Amino acid sequence: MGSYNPVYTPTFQSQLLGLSPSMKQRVEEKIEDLIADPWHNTEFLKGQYRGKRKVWLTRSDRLVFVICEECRELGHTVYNLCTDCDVTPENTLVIAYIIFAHRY
Amino acid sequence: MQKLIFLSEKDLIDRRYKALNYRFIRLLHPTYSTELKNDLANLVQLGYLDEPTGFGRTRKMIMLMEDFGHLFSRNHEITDAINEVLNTFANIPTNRLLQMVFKMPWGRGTIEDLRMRKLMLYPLRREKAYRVFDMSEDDFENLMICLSPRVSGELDQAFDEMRRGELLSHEEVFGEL
Repeated sequence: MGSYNPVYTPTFQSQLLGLSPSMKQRVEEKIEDLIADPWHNTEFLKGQYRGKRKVWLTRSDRLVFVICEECRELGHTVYNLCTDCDVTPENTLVIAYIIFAHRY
Repeated sequence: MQKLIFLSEKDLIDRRYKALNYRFIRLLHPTYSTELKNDLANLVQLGYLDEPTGFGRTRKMIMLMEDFGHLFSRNHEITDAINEVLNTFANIPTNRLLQMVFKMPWGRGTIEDLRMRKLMLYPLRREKAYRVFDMSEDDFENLMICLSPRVSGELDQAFDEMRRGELLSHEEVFGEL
């Protein structure tokens, strides 16, 4: 593992359980990339999802996550409103959700 | 709302601008779009419009408009045309506006003369359009994330879990696979 510590929402976990083995492996590899550098090839969501990032998982699917360090630095705590912010380590990555384009 | 969007859509199609893409049929009041009704219901359900205050904008809608404001300036010919219609008709009392729409010329007569359920407006074909609402794939994806009831509902659920600190470790999630 790199310098960031990933934690996961139960929603993400249930999404993961429904994936094929090859897709699960793709997700795990992407998370390893994020742990090494969560800013590489990622961008912010918009609108009410300000303060959250997305990264390409496949050509059409995206992984959505939050970098706690960045959230505090940029004042995105006003959007993310985590109740445990005071006790969450700076190097935490919250892996929240997989956006499957076919679900639009 | 139905009348103002109908008048806007008609004006855009007259100019051969492809933007709203609603179908309107002749009904009792006297024009109606099921797609528009569904869109408004979705926007209320998703918390973008505040129905009790007459479709007022919520904070979520203001954030959306701020983050996608560049689309309105990029497509200003289209938004200018819509604003022109709104400036002309939005302050007219509903009953008077209804009568004006009933008496609008349509084909060889007026809208009032059309048979019920007659298709009046439908999306302009791209190849016939003089101007098409311009949006990048990235903007489209970001908008769909915000406006899709399914995706938005599940994202909200995931972020509620994050806010409450209901989070699982890497081992809990990937250790069991």
